[in-house]
Amino acid sequence: MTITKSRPGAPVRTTPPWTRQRAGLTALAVAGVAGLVAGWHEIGMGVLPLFTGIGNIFRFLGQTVPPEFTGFPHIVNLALVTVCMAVIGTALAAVMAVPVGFMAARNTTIHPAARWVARSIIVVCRSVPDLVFAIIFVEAIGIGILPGVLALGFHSVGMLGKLYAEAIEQVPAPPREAVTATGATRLQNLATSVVPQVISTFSSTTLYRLDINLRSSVILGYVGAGGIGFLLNEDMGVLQFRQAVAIVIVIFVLIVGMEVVSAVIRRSLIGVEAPLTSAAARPGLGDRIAARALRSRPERPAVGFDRQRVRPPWTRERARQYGFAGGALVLVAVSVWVTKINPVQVITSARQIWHTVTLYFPPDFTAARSGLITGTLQSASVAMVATVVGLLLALPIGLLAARNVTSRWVYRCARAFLVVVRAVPELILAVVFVVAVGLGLVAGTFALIVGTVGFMSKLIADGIEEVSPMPREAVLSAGATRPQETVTSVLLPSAPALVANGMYMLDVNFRSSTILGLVGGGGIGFLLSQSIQVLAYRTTGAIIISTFVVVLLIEVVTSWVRRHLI
Amino acid sequence: MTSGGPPGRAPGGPAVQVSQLSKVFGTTTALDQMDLTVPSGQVLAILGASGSGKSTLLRTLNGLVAPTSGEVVVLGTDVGHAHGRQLRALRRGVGFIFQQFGLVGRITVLENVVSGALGRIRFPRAGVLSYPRSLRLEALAHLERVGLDSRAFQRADTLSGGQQQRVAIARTLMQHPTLLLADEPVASLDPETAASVMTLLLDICREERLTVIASLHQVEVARGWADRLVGLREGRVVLDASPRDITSDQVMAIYRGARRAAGAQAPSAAVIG
Repeated sequence: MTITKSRPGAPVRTTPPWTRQRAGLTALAVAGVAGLVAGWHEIGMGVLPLFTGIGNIFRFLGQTVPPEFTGFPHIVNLALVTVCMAVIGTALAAVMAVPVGFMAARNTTIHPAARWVARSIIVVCRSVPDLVFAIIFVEAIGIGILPGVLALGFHSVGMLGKLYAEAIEQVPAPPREAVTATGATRLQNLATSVVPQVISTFSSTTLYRLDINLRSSVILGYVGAGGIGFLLNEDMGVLQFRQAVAIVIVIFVLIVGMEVVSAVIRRSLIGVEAPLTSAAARPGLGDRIAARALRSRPERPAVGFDRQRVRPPWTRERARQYGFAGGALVLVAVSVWVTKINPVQVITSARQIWHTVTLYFPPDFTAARSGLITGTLQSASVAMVATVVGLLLALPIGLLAARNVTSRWVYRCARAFLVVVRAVPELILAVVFVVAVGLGLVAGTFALIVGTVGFMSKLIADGIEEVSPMPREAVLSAGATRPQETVTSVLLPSAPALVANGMYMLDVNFRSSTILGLVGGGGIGFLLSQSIQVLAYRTTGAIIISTFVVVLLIEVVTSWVRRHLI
Repeated sequence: MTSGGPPGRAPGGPAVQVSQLSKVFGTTTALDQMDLTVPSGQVLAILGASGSGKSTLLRTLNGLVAPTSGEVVVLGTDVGHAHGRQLRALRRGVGFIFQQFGLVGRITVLENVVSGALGRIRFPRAGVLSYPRSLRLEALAHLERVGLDSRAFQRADTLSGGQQQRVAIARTLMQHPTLLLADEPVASLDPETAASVMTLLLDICREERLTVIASLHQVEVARGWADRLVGLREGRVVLDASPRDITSDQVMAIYRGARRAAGAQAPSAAVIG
């Protein structure tokens, strides 16, 4: 049978036809390159300042050794408080995100309008940085742990609600239909056919968010939200670098420790064999350790069947799951007790919070009009340059850190390097670079580059490790050389995922660049910290809204690209 | 905790009465002004090619699909106009066996079976958190009936296809149904397993004196199994006979006709394919 018949005389098409999608993607790529070049000039980016500034870095680092652990008990105490803040904030976010997630998921929402509201909540919470939430809550209820908890809680609802909804949408439809057919109510149906299917994904997502929140809670201290960041800010302010470095070491240990612990729990919840689905939630060092520790031992043979037994026997698996659920509740309770947070205070200060929010409205765009546009452009430039440069650096590092490409020792060194890089909060990196190259955009860009390298290298390495060996063998057996094989069967197939992750990174970096302004990283964040210092609330409101619009714009473009590229 | 059977059922009357039933999905007409009456206690097999409307018909009978026009009365309930409580009461009395089993993979076999009782559990233990011991014992008994009581505490997704369909049958028994709908119950199984599952299903139906409407692919199975054969093509009834009065060839005609019709309707599809 003839499939298609080209018109006689017409040249045979050997490349895919131009569709609107392809045209759009190409236009975006061109715009991206143009933006990159423009951004590079805008920042005044260059590698040179790094070399001239290297002396500064060494001088600075010289002032930090040996670390001074004089107030060590105090530091540890504050570190614990920081962990508690992250735990309570994450728990709060999880509780709020569950209804949001169910309403935002296509298959469980009660009404299209409810879905729209839930998705709006998700977008708003995601695009307002936790730092901004912290500023508002500190303003409303004063310096302390509670504003930090609320800030983490509200900001995390965005990511958690989004990932919860995605998990719910992946629940297969047949069991739901079957339970409906038994005459169950909507709530019974959700409890029977949806909740059991998503609970482990929910838990693992929440634990992953706890990791992120621990990192953020360090930063929140900078605006008075308590914890170890508050102390760090004080020490940096009075140039107590040796004490500051002691704090940084404690933070580092905390973050690595948390990553390992949360990975161990995630492993045993989801099972070693099941991969994590989200691009943002890939197995890390901790997962590897956990995999080794929990390597599935054979279960005891099934107990003899007991006719009167109506509940499942206590297998190791079941005991572990109940143990973690109970442990999580105890952890939250202990955290509330340690931090002496008064949950009632949230309700009693509701009016105060509302009053503070109204201070920022209507936003005043006039005061910082020219500065606002320049600042936004600068931050966008920083994010763009940092993402692209970070991505280019991450490619070779990611290759080195992929088990199936390199030798064992290179692999181990590269992985260890990535763990170290990822455990240093960007704010601290920014401080170091400010010392090296002076206040301004270049310092912020370098900090974000390092952050991007840490995050993307890991994603790339994990992605490469998952590449199926079969096409590789097929390409090799067709007579290809090793480099040809790596390009065609490893790099090219992962290019769409790489671009999509890069877009996600652009989003993250733009939000971070608003934060880096606080320590002299320039851009819109600099305006933000200025307007906060002089209490120009309505100008702050204008800056927050501009940030929100840019983040939203990136989000829209990103989701379009993801849809058409993957 | 438990209430009686579904309301308004007239004893002796037809279990299912469908008149002038149509269902349109977008531009596709799945059911086209169909009339069908099924007396209580009858075992009816629906035959027809893919896309002839078998699944849609079964799904309109318990309200999973709302009819576009026409009337559906099942066990005395007007399904097309029933909502909420009334619809749930009807579904409680109507068992449904799916081709893809429809078990919740991550919970135990026993919990899957107990979920068949969700329609009759009332507050305070609304079936959201846990189930009472009496229901669990009943579920164990049903599992024993289908020969899987020793698997009660395994996760449902660790079972084979045939075992999963047996669990689905046990879940349906938990509903104490008077009408059983089965949508190609054995189409996803290998022939040997399919035969054993089919025998189990038939035994249970005879024992419980259920009215059964099952869509089937295997003509021979249907002939040996059903009191009555109904053939569908393009949403219409094109065959309605007792298996004793009809040859296999006559039954196969409904498939051949469907194929010819499809070929005639979509010449462009043939070119693309």
